[in-house]
Amino acid sequence: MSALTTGELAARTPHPHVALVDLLDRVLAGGVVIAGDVTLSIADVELVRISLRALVHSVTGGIAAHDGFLPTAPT
Amino acid sequence: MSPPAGATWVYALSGRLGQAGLDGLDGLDGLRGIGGGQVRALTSGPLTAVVESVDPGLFSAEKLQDRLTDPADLELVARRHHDVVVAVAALGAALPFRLATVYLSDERVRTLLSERCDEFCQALGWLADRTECGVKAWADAEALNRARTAQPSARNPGGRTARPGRADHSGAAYLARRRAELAARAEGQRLAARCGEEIHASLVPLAAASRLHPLHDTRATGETGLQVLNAAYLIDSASLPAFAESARTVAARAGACEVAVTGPWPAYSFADQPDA
Repeated sequence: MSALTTGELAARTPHPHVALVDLLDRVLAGGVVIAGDVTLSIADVELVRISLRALVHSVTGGIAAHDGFLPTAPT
Repeated sequence: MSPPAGATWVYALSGRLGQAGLDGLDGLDGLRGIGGGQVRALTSGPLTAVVESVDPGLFSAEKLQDRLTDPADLELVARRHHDVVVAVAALGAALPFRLATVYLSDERVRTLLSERCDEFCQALGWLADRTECGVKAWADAEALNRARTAQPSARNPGGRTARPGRADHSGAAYLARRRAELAARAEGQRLAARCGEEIHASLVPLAAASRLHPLHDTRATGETGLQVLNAAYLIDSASLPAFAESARTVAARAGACEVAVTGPWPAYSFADQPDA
């Protein structure tokens, strides 16, 4: 799974233009937080966030300073 | 310890999905979940959790930690999670779950739905017909400071004027110049921060709720400018274009050098604060 390149991912995902940094702000720090049976603790998530900050930039090639509207609007 | 028998990844909650809703999910041809399996609807009372059965061996806390620390794997997991959440949000109000919320059985998820039914229903009602809009803004701290010093103000009527004369190479003059540089930089950063605050303050009254995300470090990206705002706003879905336009207008007025509006997003940033 980790052998996928970013390009391959973009080809497979419906919303490849959603910037990864923006997505991570939301999926790692947003959403309903419930103590599931197996969850990353908040501390773990913070660690992931911190250790990824630089990596994310290398994956996405930096923050794209342009608007990103998803094709499908939640109704 | 023997490995658990099953694992259920939770993507999002929505109101009870009827057959039309299930068809909508089935319509996601080729969209695989995190583990490559079929995304399912799991209903209890008025609520439906959208879930996927995943291999418990691959989704233990340790494995998750490893996988999410690998950038390629993290991106894959985050994007697949997002794709499903977007699909659910397209069917109606949806409460996205934090990435990597995994239960050991469907039954445990049903228990969660029934135990916290009132709370979830209230949150879904609050999010109905609303969507999340992201606004990011960047400012050029130096340019803001130059603009300010060039502009005569009541406190500084003549503006800041350079004193002509021979260049002074003494140590005292060096220190004075250095102090002035540092003061100018601090002032520029203060002005940049105020730019972000101004934009945010203008947008808050237009939104049902707002949330500030940590600023991205633009030094890591080699971008010019300083990110001064990285915020999410919960707005009426119908007002998204008008809100985006307002964001661009207030950002320009506040002196931002760049602004980016993103969305509509599922309400990730507001899933946990129904009272905001």
